[in-house]
Amino acid sequence: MVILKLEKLKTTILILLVLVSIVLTTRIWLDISIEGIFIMPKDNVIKEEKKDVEFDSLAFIKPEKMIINNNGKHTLLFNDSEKGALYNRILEEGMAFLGNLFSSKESMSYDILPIENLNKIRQGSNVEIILPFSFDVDILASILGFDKTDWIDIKGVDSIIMSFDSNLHYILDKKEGSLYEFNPIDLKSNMKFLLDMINKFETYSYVFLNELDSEKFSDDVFIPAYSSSFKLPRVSVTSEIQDKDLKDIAASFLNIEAGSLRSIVEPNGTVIYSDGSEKGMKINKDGLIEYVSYTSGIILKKSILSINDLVDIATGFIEDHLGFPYDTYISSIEKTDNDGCIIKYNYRYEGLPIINDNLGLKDLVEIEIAEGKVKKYKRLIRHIKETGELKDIKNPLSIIDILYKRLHDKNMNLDEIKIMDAYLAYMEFDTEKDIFMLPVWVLDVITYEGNRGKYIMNAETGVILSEPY
Amino acid sequence: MVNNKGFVKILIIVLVLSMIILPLISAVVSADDDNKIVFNFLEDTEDILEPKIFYNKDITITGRALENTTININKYWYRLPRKKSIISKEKSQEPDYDLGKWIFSCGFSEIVGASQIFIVPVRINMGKYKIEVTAINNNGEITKEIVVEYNDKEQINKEFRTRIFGDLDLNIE
Repeated sequence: MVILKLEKLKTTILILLVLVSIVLTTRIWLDISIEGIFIMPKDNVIKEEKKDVEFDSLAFIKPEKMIINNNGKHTLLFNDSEKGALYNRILEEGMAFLGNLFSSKESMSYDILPIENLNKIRQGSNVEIILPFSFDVDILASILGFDKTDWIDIKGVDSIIMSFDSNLHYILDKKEGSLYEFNPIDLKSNMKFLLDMINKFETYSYVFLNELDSEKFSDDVFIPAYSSSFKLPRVSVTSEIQDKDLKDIAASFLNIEAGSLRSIVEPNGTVIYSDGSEKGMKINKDGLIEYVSYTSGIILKKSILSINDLVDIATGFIEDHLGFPYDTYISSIEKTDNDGCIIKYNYRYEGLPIINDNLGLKDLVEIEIAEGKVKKYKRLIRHIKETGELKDIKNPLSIIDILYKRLHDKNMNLDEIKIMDAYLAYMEFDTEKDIFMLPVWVLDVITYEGNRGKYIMNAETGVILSEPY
Repeated sequence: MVNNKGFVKILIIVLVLSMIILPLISAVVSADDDNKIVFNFLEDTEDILEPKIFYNKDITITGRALENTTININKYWYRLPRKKSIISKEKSQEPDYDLGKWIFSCGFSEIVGASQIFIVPVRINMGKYKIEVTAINNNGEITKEIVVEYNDKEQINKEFRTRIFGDLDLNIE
């Protein structure tokens, strides 16, 4: 009787072990969470580490493009009102990976693949976060809160690729022409769950044109395939200084009483303010604000002035002086002398970049820091509202045809032209009384002589609004 | 006692089979395939392309052709053969099934511009489809075609899981 009971107990234990094995092997091989039985924990060590990172700076690292590669279908994910939450979740995963990467080199195994593998990786199931510029690895590490990084082999981080169906992560370094492949076993991602959420949305298929003609298109030219007409909202804009007292703005910048300000009005309507000693600013009637400070800051020790510190100084100053528009991102960081740097920002509306061609201002917020102080600050920000009207958007292939016709008319050899990028944007268009924003197609073109510039076309009509040559 | 041992054996067999079969299934199911079909009319290529299976309903018909070429794309779905009634079977002694038919589903037309590229998105559902692309220009007319099929990857995964674990009775008495 006792033996029989013992046998039953052994059998039960064996059954339990078999069941656990089945669950675990299912999990490993099919990579599927089994609700109620086996769910990967959402929070993990890396995320706890990330809490220590200065998130304010991190919030401005946003991609130029976020490409979802899903079993051969490619699509772009925008930080718009529909999918913005998902976009930001994926971005958090990307930053968690970088945090994990920079925390230790020794614990991370990796392979270096030729850059030609990029097309093959894009056929898999992953998300590609293309950064607005090639981040120096030490700048990126600094912004993420690491004083230094051992990853000196990586010269620039152009994009991060994270798999949905495995733990493989990649960093594309175009400077070195390398693709770093990582398999961070410590990093538990939620990518599979995020892919399920993406699949719930209706998305357009996109095509990499270099796969059809690599001579005429770079690997960044990525255009949507529309089955029906594609529309974008028409927007109306106002200057951020409209209905504001310019004296109050100037007093806030120059940190003195409005009554103590000195000012001059130029014939074109620009007002110049000064505190009479070391700070000055001018406010253009179009809304362009420029500030300059001639004071010398306290010379800080070199080690204190990390890029992260400089970005924090810039962030604090901008927040105190008119603030950041929604969906602002860092578009470039240039190191300067005196442990300083110039940080440029741009912003997007419904995921599309804002362009101002009239004033020739490429980046809409620009700040220069030297000796721990803000030396120069420039901004041109608009408040954007939807009018409720939708505009039909021309197919990008039609836009490329318009470009080719124009280049042909200029007697340029089409075989010597390469399109480097193509994207939708909102472009500001000013008249005497009003400011408009038009949806435009931007084609970044380079000739074989190396002349590079942007053709900007009205996305609704195809009319060329701006051309570089 | 014998029953318990038998049950344990079955469980071990299931475990071993799952260890062998699941990776194989996983490898087959995760075979990636581009969702793009390229029809190149600038080069002399085969008129009937190799059939393709997609794990995505949204596929893109794309390709290259000379400027001002008209591209006509026709999509056909494959109607499965219908079973004949018992009466007809008895009367004619013919086979049980008719051959399936390609039924026209929809068509698209594009004129190729200076980029010499065309792109048309097409949606397919479960089952077989035929995509027929005709390029017409001053040089003449060329038609190319391909048979495509959509498979639901998740459904395949689910089906295999059900087949392997579905009949597993864990009510041990």
